[in-house]
Amino acid sequence: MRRLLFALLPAILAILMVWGLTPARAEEPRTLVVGSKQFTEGRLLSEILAQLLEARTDLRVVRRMDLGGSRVVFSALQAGEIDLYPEYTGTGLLEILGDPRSGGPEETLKAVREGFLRKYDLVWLEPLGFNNAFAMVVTGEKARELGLRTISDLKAHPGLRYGISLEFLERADGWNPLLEAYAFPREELTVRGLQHGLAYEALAAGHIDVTNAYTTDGKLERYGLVALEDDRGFFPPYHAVPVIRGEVLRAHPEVGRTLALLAGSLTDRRMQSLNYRVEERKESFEAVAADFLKGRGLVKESRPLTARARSGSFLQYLVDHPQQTWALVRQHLTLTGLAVLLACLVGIPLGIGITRWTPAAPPVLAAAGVIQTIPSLALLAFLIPVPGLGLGARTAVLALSLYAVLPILRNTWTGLRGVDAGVLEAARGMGMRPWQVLTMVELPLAVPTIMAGLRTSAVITVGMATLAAFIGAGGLGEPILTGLYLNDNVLILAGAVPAALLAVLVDLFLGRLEALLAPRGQD
Amino acid sequence: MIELDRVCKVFGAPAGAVRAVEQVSFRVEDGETVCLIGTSGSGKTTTLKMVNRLEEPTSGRILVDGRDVHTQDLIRLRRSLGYVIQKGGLFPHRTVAQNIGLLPRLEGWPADRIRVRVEELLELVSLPAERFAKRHPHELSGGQQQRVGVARALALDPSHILMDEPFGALDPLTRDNLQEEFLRLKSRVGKTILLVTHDLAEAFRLGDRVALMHEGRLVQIGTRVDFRLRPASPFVEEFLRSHLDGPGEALALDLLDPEARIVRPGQEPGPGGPLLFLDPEGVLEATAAGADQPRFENPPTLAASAQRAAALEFLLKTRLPALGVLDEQGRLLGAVTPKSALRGLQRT
Repeated sequence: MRRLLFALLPAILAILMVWGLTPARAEEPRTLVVGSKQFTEGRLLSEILAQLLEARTDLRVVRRMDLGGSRVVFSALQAGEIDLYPEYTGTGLLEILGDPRSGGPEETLKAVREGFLRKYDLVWLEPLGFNNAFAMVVTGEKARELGLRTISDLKAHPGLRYGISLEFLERADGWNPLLEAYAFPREELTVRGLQHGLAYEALAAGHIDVTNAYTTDGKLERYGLVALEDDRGFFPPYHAVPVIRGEVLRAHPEVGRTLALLAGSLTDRRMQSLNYRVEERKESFEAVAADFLKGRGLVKESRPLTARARSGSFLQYLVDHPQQTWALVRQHLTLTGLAVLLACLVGIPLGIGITRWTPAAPPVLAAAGVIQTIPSLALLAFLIPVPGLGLGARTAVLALSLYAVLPILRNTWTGLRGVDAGVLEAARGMGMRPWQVLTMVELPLAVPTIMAGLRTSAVITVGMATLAAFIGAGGLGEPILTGLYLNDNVLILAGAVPAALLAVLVDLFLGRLEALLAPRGQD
Repeated sequence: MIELDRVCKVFGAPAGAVRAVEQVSFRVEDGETVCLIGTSGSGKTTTLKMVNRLEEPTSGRILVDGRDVHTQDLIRLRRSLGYVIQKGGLFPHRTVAQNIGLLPRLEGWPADRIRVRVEELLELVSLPAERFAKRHPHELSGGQQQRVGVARALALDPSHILMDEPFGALDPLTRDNLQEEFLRLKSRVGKTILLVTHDLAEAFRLGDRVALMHEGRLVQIGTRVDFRLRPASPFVEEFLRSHLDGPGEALALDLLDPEARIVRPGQEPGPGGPLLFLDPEGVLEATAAGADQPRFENPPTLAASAQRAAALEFLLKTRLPALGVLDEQGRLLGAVTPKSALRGLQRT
């Protein structure tokens, strides 16, 4: 029975692998991949671009939405994983080109056009119209109470608590340069970094007083927030523009012509209202995009409108979307299964290797430990530009397996080292060959320890795999991410609860497996 | 036959080198049991392990049946040498039958033949197969585990057996039983055995000869009587004294009565006794408690290696005033008397 299980284990894992593998991107010549950043407006704009292209060209449009911050999406564009996405002029200039000069809207657009074309063969098409600049926002109440009108006014109130989004903290046109431009006394500020989607709640609940926001953010209205005037003209213009790979544009000039139809069609006000519809009225991206295009007369028949369910319980959500949930669970399991399998294929042989040649053990174990300390998002960002990886499941699996290796490796090492020295000496001394000693004595006796490592690793990976959604690899992280920036607790729970359940189930399953595989006859 | 020829073993780098075994040469003849004894760190275990090449000698040669072990296939060599270690070294995840049958299986024996062999071996070590074959090692007592270890070492019927402190971790009673069994087994299977122990009494009991090692060198090899009568150095004398102090360990050799006197033909016995009378050839012809006491002609004698219990029993049975003690060459060493045979016992 146990031998049978041993033999079947790789087969089971292989089936799992094939079963859940999302079909790779079909490499048809007439396919266009539209990407998006991971926040409401970026995703909505991409949906508008995608629908317009679907309606007015013969190209098959593939959506790779919610790819994380500028860095990730830009890497994906550079690597050819996506063909176009909407970017902001200010971000392009400061964040990607690293050009500190600031100027007016035309000047900035000209600079990014030239820079992107020369350095990356990427083309900035026509601006969509609105300027989604950064702004520092406070509640209307606080503004009245303290008489806050401009950013400079904040300096008079050193007791204010700042909650700054993690991306903004790091941006070249973000927090630190802002403090310098306004000569804020940095030491006196109370600053904490947080996920942008959570900042409004924190503001409303009074946990923080000031946060950064976008001027077209639909939530400004809902939370009654006031954008402070940028009285020193620090924030560069952020006009949204579709950015496309030069190669793709040359092959399909109709894409440029089609998207030019959108030029200047979105004012600040209109964008804010579209954002509001998605975020607050819980309409779907598809519906809002279709509605907008139809209203502009760019698309004839609009798609049937499917309003997103207004907040009910997450259980209701799961019941209403069984196929979607099942598909996400499947993707999630596949990512986890593949990552753990890969980690086993590396970790167990490596663990065996360092017990054969012990001088290698300390550096190998240390290296595996160091990998563990790399922040997961950073690791994903590093891996995207690697040839052959890019966006999607491959990168996610690789990154996850890098984290999964350590417990397996360490427990293989510990398990093998824990085999009784007398037993080993007897095995060698009686004339067993080294591989016989390994496979008949050492590994069977180390199985409980190795399986414990595998369990730890699998449970960690199930949790970690929610991050795969950041790079478009799917899984239960998808609803969590969307929920985070839509500020939709139902969606967050619809991802988080199944993920947690999955972790428990995986642990139980592997526990049973361990009991079956463990050698008998040990006390 | 196992033959060691000027074998040396140096551990570690030249700078911090430890000379574990220095110029050790000795032989274990066919069918003979030699026990390697010494304090810990004396190099006895290293010496044993060089025979089946768990350690490689730094210099010198080791021959098994005349063939240099170094030129033989390692796996074939080890399978031709049974190996028993302390606590048995059984595989905890395998049953008793699987443990014993492992090497035959690796040798490709058919299952039937393995089963028969396992049953035969279990019977040999007094563990009925129907009760023990399917058990796992942790379901056995220490002594039973060690029996299985011995059975496993005999599986391929090797002509030589190496044993590394085989009875070391057992309680005294079990150890005594197993030693008894070992002697019985040895007489049945007729193997050439090299056995390492730190228990001198065990060495003398189990070994035809004992090889004493100290600080990597072979100090003396011989029988118990050799050690007692012709110790190679003051160290050997001291070692024997300090390691054989139990009164139960004493041999006839150790119990000679200093008051007993040997009377050659023509000598006047004089007062006191007991007396041992020799004939003109130097052979013991009579004993007597004293000059004016009755003579017992052609008395029986004791071997120098006879145990105290045997000597006492013999004295009681024969009711002789003294028993002559002869060394291995038949020379008269002295006499054990009822008084001397009991000497030392009161103390404990």
